[in-house]
Amino acid sequence: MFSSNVLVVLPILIPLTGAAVAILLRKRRGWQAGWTLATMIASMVFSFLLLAAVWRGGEPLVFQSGGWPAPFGISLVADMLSAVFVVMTQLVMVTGILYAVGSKDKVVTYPTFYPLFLTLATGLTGAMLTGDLFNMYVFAELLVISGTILTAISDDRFGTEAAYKYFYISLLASFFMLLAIGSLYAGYGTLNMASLAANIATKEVSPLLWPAIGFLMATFMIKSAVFPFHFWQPDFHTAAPTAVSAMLSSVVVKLGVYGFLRMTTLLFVAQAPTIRAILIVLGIIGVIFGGLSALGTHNVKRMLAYSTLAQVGFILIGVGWGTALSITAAIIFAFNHSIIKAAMLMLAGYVASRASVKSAAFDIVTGVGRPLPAAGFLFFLGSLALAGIPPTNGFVSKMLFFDSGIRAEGYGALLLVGLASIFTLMYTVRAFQRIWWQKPAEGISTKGSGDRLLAPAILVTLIMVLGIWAQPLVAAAQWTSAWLGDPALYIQAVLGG
Amino acid sequence: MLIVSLLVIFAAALIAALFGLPALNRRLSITRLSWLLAGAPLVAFILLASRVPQANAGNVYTWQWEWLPSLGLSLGFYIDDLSLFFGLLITFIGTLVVVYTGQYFKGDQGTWRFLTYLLLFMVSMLGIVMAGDVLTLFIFWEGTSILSFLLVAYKTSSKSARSGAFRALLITGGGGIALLVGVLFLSYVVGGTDYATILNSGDVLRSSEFYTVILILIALGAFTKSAQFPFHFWLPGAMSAPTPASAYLHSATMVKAGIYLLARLNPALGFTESWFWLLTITGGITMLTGAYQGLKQNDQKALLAYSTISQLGVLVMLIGQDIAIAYKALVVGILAHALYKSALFLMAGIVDHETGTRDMRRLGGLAKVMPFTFVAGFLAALSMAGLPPMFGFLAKETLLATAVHPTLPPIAAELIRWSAVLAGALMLAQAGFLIYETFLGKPKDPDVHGHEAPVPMWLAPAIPAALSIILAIIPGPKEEAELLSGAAQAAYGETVKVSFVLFHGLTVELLLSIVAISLGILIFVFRHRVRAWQNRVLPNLSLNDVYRWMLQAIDRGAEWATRLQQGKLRIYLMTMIAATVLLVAGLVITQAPLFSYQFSSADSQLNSSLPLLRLLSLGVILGAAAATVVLKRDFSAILALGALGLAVALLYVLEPAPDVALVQIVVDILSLVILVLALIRLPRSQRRKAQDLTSDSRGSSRTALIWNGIIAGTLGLLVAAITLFALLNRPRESLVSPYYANNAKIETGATDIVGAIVVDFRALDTLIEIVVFSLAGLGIYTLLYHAARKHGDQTPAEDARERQGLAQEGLAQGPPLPTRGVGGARASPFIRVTAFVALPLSMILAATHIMYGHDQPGDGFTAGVIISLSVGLWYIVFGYEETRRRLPWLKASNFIGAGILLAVLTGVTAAFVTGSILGNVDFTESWAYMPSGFHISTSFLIEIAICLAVLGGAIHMLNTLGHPGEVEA
Amino acid sequence: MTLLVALTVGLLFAIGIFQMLQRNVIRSLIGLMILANAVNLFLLSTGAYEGLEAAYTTADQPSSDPLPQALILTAIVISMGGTAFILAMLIIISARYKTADMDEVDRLKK
Repeated sequence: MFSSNVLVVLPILIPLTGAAVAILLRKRRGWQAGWTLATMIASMVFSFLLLAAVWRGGEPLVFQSGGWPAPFGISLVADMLSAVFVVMTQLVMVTGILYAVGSKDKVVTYPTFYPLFLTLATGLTGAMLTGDLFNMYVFAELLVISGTILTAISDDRFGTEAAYKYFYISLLASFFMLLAIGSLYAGYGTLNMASLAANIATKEVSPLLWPAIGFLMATFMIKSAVFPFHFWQPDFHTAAPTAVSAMLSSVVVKLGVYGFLRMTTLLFVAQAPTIRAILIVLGIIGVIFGGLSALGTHNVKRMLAYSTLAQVGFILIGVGWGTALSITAAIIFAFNHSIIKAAMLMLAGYVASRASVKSAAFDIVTGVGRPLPAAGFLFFLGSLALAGIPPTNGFVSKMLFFDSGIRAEGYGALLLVGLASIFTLMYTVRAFQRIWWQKPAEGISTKGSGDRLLAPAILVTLIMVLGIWAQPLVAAAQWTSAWLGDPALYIQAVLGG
Repeated sequence: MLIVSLLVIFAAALIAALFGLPALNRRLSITRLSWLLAGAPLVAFILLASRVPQANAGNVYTWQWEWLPSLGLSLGFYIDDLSLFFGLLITFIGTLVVVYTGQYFKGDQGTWRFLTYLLLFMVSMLGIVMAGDVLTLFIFWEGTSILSFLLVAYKTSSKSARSGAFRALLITGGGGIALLVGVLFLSYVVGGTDYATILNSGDVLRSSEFYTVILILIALGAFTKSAQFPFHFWLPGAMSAPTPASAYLHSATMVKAGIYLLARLNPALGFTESWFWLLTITGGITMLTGAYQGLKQNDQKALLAYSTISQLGVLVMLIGQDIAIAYKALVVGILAHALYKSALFLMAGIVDHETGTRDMRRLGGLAKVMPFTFVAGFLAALSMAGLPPMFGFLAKETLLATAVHPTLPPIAAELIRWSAVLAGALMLAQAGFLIYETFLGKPKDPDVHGHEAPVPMWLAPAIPAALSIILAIIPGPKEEAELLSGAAQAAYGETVKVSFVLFHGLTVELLLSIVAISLGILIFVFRHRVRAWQNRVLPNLSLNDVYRWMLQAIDRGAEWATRLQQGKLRIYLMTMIAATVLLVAGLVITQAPLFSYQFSSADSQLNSSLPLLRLLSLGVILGAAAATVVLKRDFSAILALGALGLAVALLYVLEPAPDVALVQIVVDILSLVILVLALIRLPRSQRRKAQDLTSDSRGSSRTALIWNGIIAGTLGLLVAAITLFALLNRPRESLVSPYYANNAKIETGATDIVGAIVVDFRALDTLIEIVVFSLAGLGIYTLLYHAARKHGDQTPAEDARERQGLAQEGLAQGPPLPTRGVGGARASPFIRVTAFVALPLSMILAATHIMYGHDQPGDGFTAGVIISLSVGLWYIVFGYEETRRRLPWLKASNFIGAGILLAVLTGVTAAFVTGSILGNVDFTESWAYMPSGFHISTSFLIEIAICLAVLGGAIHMLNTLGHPGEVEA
Repeated sequence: MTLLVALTVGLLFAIGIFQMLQRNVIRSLIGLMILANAVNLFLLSTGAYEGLEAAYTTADQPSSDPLPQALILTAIVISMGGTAFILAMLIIISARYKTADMDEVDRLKK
């Protein structure tokens, strides 16, 4: 009785419902965890089905919530971009919950942990699927509050400080986004992204257009922690519970990337060149600054958080070059980085959980890995992937990135980024040597038990598989960027006709 | 078929890895295991050898796999004489090394790790030379870097091993990045990654604008890998690897990868001025540096490492030349060096293994106790010295022949020739030094005792050593010569004749060799003086300091970068706001000439609608806002904030937007309550301090204050500007609002359009918004109850002194202290009755809100807040315990869960009726006896859901904020 | 009048930012709430029409634009929730850091 476009709403609805039920199940920890995992897996399955449907359908799937025709209701739109990003999100989220289930953290025993995890997934998925700018703001808020709470209640004493700062900065982002939304509504009389795009392209430029672009850029820069909007990120991604920080630093930061892709390929096509120029500059700064900071910091989780700064920089440069190939590369980079970073953070958390003093600070975890060869093996592969060394999926990303850069003639960026990408090798290898090879400090020993290694193992397997059998992802990304090349496709699918 | 050679070695690696399992490990001694595993490279060797005749006949074996078809990227193999030549070396020496490893690590069952790495390395190395395109080559190339890292740091607990491995990886890895970009550039220019394409488009390349870039990038890759000056210094550092690894990676194979790459691409990239000079100069300097440094060493392996560097320099030089004979020298040189150098390394390993030291200042006179090792080493050393009749002689001689070839500018020719002579001499000297100091003369250190190694161990160096003389004297099968010339040809691009004739009569080269030899003997005789001189003149010519300096520079940069993260939220916020202002202002100024627009109506009718009230509210808003700044006490500021909220509500009324006004008011009240509740929880002392910050100069320096002002001001100006634009072109077209106006009644049965939008047209927004709100409640509860417990946070609310403080601050009548009623006393009956009445009343009120929210201001949200407020009143009057006792059904979390669930279910049910989730259904359309204006529709259910969720959230807030450690039933 | 409204919103926004940048955590929070109000007022002003009457289907005079009002409703509720949670975090911070001075909440560095 339902057409396939119901698939669009399921990845949002399932985790949301799951969260509600999980709240009611809060007295039964075991049930709650199992239920959460089951929900998330189901939701992931449906997001894969969604991707398949969109891919085979050859045009975006649109779900008009409440059955109100666009642009009057809220349209949920799954084009290739949304579908790919949603699959990425939910795939990683499943492993996140898997890690949480096997984690020794106190926080996972709180009755609200799993519901919040599910709302986190809901918010992110929704923000990527919605075709309505204000609705995106609402979903983003859901994402923000869930993430904030999850970090504020972390076992790490400084979790609350990190959450406090993040929340402040996110509220700032929300204000900026509302300013942008208001300006766009005042200028073009609609909130539906498709109809906005159509009007911006056709109508005369409103005086409020550029302010809107500016504020929207600021919003997305805060969302994906682009220098100098990054200050919240290292704290937040370090202090969060491992299972959560693995999500935050991998998929959640991609929301900004998604936003920039939408801005440059749908909303503001005519204005895109300016936006792209800015993105390239900020991306380069990000790569260099992030790499340096990752080298300079004193905590392995923090190092990985900083490295996200650099990696997002790469992605932004790819978005900034704006050619079909470079956007393909950016999408692949984003997807692969999510998996790599999630795996690495989980492994870092795993090591911390095995240290006699639970902490990810280097002077604590140094040498803790010596009795943990399996984790070392996984971490080493992860490091290779992060540094873009074959046969990992990181290599595919990096190779395509450089290739697209050459073809986009972004030589300056290539030079700087090429030099800076040595940093990646430096900090990952240093961390590996410290944790798995050096002798532990006085009074630091390795505990007999800690978090479970299953989730990162799955992710690392994915890293290798996607490195060798890269064709599906590459094809998806190419197809995606082909669609992004033609905004009319999206607009028509939503507005019809 | 040839790929099997890769697979078989890979399989061997896996087997070795399997022996990590204790169960298997116990079964087989490492020595036996290595015998077993040595079979793999042997098989590979035979497979490759069997291919030689066809390859000589000129047919190249190729194989391709579509890796990324959609990008036209494929991986594959391309096996000609050059590949086979290298492949045979790799597998042959590989076999020896594996056997040798078994002896070297005899009894150490942990060696399975080493063997795994070694065999994996063999796979990558073989892969490099068999690769059919630059991409495949790069993949295996990185593989060798990584495995060399693992092998060098095999003794992970030793610091020198770790740092040596790190250095090697850093330099080869850096080169790797250059190489990657280089080959991508290359394939971009020629339009393909496979050798067939590349080698056929030499002219395209050489004429391309990118030629120099490609050249430099690829050269960087090759030079770093093959330890060319100035990157050579990683090689001696890599000597902390176990000797078998050094013998294999750092003399015979890996360091030859760069040579292979240059040779492979020479036909396409070579034969240009830049190519010639780049390779000749780099190679020349490397040759001399290596030779010079080598003589200084006391550690056998260090000496061998430097002599390897020198030899690699020679090879690079040769590739730079563009005459056939150079390539003859190249292949012969590679073969010779691989044989004698691996032999010498293995010998050094034996010495180290049997005597426990490699320091030549302690060794000596071992010839008697270790005769076989001595002979093997001696033969190899002769070859290294380039003395006839050894194989190395051929290499040296051909190099000299190259050097005298008349196509060079005369000076260059002279330079090259004489540096070659000098290098040769030094080489001879250190070969002699190595052998003499180790095996001959008197034993220098009484407590160094040696004894002969087991047969298979000394056989390992003996075989290549012997070969290096046999190959030179006895002419081998014609395939051999053909293979070599074929390889040389592949590198040169045209036919090269390779013969092993030792004497071409009395040529210049011969004379030069004689000069070199005699000079070398001279240096050897006076070696001690020479070495002393070396240490006096140039004590340390190593580039390690430069490397260390660069690392330190990077670390300093890193230190600086992390210092930006200095922990002050205000600075962060300021930075971001400033950046945003710059961004927006910049965009507006550069992109949009702001003031060149025509507006639909010059000024709007705002004036018409009650201007005075509007003015009043504006005034109050600003006044209150200003008050929040200037008022000293936080409580007063909060009250001012409340006033501000009400004034804003008034503005909403004037818009007119009654629904918003209503919600604004209830929210204003609720926020006031929780603000005050929370404030009580902050210790008075802390608040005092913070307040003082607020009152005197705002606790921050004047400049900081000014900056705040400027940033805030500019952003405010921006906002004012866009607001003005928004207002000025009123009335304008809204694409959506008319639709709402026209369809609200018909589609949703609502008179209140805003209500209709909230619960029907944009129901999804509302649903999520409510989730957000109730999550906040849940979050507060989790944070203040569970998390606070875990961290043992003291949240001092019942502190008596606190209460006094509040009393002094005039808050006695303010909100309650937890756990008891007002002031801890039992409230007067009157108040209690009020409270009793208030709750049901509020519920009725809420019910009407929900039922008629569609036709008048008010909705589920207001309803929820109202109820929660009256519950709040109960908390005030009866205190927490009694309230909980009297209202056992009040379970906030359940409300939240149920609310959200109800909303979702309603949406889904609607889907079954309307086919669209969150669609609008009126279940009671046909019912005649419904009270007018009220329908049980999806909107109604959603309103109830909202009410429940909000109630739950609000209760949690009041509850936990007001009362510490509030346990939820 | 239009100008006055616009200036008020701008000024309110400025004050909000200024307050938010204060060291006293309470004032800073107050700043956030002011900002929220300012933004809502801005949203209100993006309404497309001059309202002489509330947005009801029964309205016979030109009524105000309902959409921004709906948006404001959502925004109000969300920022309310946010405020509440910030308060909770402030309580914890004051308990752990023994301060209500934002500049002393700086344990996370480097």
